[in-house]
Amino acid sequence: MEERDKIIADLGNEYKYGFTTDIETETIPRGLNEDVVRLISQKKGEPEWLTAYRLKAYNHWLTMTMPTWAHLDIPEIDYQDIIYYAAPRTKPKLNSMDEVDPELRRTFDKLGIPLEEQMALSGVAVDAVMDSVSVKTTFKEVLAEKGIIFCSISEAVRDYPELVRKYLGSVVPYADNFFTALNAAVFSDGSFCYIPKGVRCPMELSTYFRINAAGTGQFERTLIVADEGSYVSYLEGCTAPQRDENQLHAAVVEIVVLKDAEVKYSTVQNWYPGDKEGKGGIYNFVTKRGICKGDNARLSWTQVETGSAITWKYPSCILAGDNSVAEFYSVAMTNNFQQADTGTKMIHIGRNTRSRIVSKGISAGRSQNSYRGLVRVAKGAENARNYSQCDSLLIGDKCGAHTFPYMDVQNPSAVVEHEATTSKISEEQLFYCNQRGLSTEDAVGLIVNGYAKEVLSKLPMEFAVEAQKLLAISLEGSVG
Amino acid sequence: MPAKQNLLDNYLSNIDIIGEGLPVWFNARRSDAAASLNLHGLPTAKQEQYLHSNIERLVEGEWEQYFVTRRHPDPTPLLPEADAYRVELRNGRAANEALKVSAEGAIYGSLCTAACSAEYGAIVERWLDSAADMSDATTALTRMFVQDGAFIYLPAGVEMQSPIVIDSAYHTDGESEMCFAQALVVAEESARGEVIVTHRSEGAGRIVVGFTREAIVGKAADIKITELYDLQQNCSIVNNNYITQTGKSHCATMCCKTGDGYVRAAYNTALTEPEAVSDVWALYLCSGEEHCDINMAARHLAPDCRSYSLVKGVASGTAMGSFAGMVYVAQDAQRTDAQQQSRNLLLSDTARIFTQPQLEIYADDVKCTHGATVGQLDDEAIYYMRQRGLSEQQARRLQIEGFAYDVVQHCGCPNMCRYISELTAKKLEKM
Repeated sequence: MEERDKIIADLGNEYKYGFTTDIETETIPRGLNEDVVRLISQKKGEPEWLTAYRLKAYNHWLTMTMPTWAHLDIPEIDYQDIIYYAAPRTKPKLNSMDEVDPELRRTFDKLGIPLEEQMALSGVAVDAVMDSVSVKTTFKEVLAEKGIIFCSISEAVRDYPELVRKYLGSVVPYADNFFTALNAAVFSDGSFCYIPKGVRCPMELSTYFRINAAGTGQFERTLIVADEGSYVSYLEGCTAPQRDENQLHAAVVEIVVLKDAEVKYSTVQNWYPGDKEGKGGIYNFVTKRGICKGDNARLSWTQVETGSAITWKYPSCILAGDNSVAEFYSVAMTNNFQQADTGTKMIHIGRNTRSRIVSKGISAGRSQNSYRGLVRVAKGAENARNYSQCDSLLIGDKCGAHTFPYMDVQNPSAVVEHEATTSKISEEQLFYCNQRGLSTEDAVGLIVNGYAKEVLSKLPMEFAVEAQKLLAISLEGSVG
Repeated sequence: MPAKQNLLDNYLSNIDIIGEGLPVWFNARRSDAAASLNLHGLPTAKQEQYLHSNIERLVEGEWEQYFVTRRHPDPTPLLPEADAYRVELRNGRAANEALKVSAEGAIYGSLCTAACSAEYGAIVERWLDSAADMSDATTALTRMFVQDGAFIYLPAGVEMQSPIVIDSAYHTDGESEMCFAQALVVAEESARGEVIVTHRSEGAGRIVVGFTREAIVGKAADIKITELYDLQQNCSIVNNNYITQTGKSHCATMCCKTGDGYVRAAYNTALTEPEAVSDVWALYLCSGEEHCDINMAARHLAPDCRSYSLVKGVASGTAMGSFAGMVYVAQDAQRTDAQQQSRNLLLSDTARIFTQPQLEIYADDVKCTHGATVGQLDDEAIYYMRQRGLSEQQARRLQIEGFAYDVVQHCGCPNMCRYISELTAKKLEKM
């Protein structure tokens, strides 16, 4: 099959978003010790309790080892060879868009999402996180009118210490796992969002993450608190410049959803996946967890994962409040030598809680794609209901698709279901499309987008468009 | 002293008695197994495969091990009315040492005798331990101490009319005893037959049993295996089953846990040549404080194979049932068709079900599905039956029996099927 060979040959299309921005960055020496933790804390002018928290986390981290249970082949990481802090040296003043570093603005332009256009057209407030320090926060005033706090976490620590202190580490304690301990010790920045009682956030909140300076691991910390009866839709999207050196990303996202509140968290992740030989690429070891703390709380995770060399990520929900609802929609696409071990955890504690998991894995090239999920129904979780569906699509015969669902049920009134299928794009489907004048490549794109539609449709509009584009780009050429 | 060290010390100080009268190769593999156990250690609950079985705790403490033949009182006869060939194991040792030949030409009897015999020694040497995975600690533990067991050999073309029963009974009066046995079933090309394995226990003392069964299914052979765990509460078994299937062979396994004792059973099927077909049905019923842990793996190593498994569990009281399944599809195992189903009923607030159906797939032209459900009895169905005059109790019973029957019906031997149904009904009384 000539066409197939040709297509497979240009499978490793170059990373479109691979470029470096020349903004001067201030870094500290490589390596990690107590002094580095103190230095980070000091540079950010943090209160004493936070410094103490970081040190506690650091000391706990020393006692831990990197987890090895995931279906991933992780090269050894030298944690002493990482720069744990990088801040843009010239901190821009934040009065208007014009004052933002032109280099940075060009960066956003290259990404195809001009900041001002985004602000004007879609009404999205962007908290652009470039490297570790928040550079520009927009629409703050509009949000402030409603009493919504949306700022970088360092600002939050300064301006709303009580809120941060109350919720930081309450969902993901530093001792949770190796990477959360590391993150808690060295987190440099991230976003903080607080929606007051009964407020419906009028726009979608969005943070654009970028990893910029070479060799600096990015340790983001995101904390979202939705107070009683509030609603927010939060978007997180990521792209990164092309690098040879592997970069480590160990972020923590915490979400607290109080009584009657609803949070939608959407992610499009497109970090540098490494070249077609599997060289370089970002290691993405993320801990995301939300808690439906009050009754009738709702939390929904939607993710489209196409980037990163290695992904280790399990956005989870703790359904503590009665009648709370959690959803997890995921498309994980791996190509070339990418590896992904991703899934979710649904912990049912309250009564009448419901959760739904829809996971679509797509593996191509020589990649390995695993779904790993846990559904736990605790003793008191009367009438808990879970439905999980995990589908895998294989493109090519050198890749792997794996499913590791765990179910632990301790309440007899619970109904838990899990379904999974694994299949490939059939010759018939391709033939049908070819007959109707579609190239094999377009046909695959069409079929895959159809396959992922159930998840993509859960994304906010502008994100859905980007996600579809991303899928097509990541898929180019990989025909089975 | 840690349990592992205890066991190894016991092995080393009795090494001469354990291996007495057995071929050199048999004992050489025994020391390999000991080395493997020493290397890997006893599994803890931290190991993925033993997440819900604490083997270390199971074997710790003081245990008697007898390395010489002892007399045990005869257990209740098993299915006396059934027309079957029998291999009787008493605490792991064959009650009758002679090898027998069935009317159809199958050879059955003591594993130790077969290993030592001039005629079948080579067959045992070739196939014994060929399928078992010695890096698995409990398999290695059994291999380290095993002195006897059952041997069944179906020469090429043999078609069995009656089943061969391995009746493994365990008995101890007062003391805590540990015993081990191994069974080897070899079916040559185009052989057909049915093997029934029963595990029963009697007596007041505690027993821990380590059992390993290997089945080698030759080209186009068709084997049916029925395994029953009818153990008393004071008896625990760790049973590792390994099945190797070659081209166009078929192996159907049905296992059923109706007793009160702890069962940890692993069924590993390797489909090594094209067009092999494997079916596995399992049922476990756990009441009281029981614990049952079923592991099931289907390894597709060749193209065009099919595997199907259905595992049904019912837990009541404070019982805990766990199931871990794995379908592995190797890179060149194209056109694999694998299905794995786990269905569970939870009958009480304090019971717990843990299920984990996993897929590991490296080939692209495959059809693999798995499903798992955990639920309770259907209220509407109970209401329907009550409307028609059944009591609540009867309606519930009927529904559970129907749930269990999906598995029980796959037993080939009608006598055995009836026997299992009776035991199932008796067990359901307690739930």
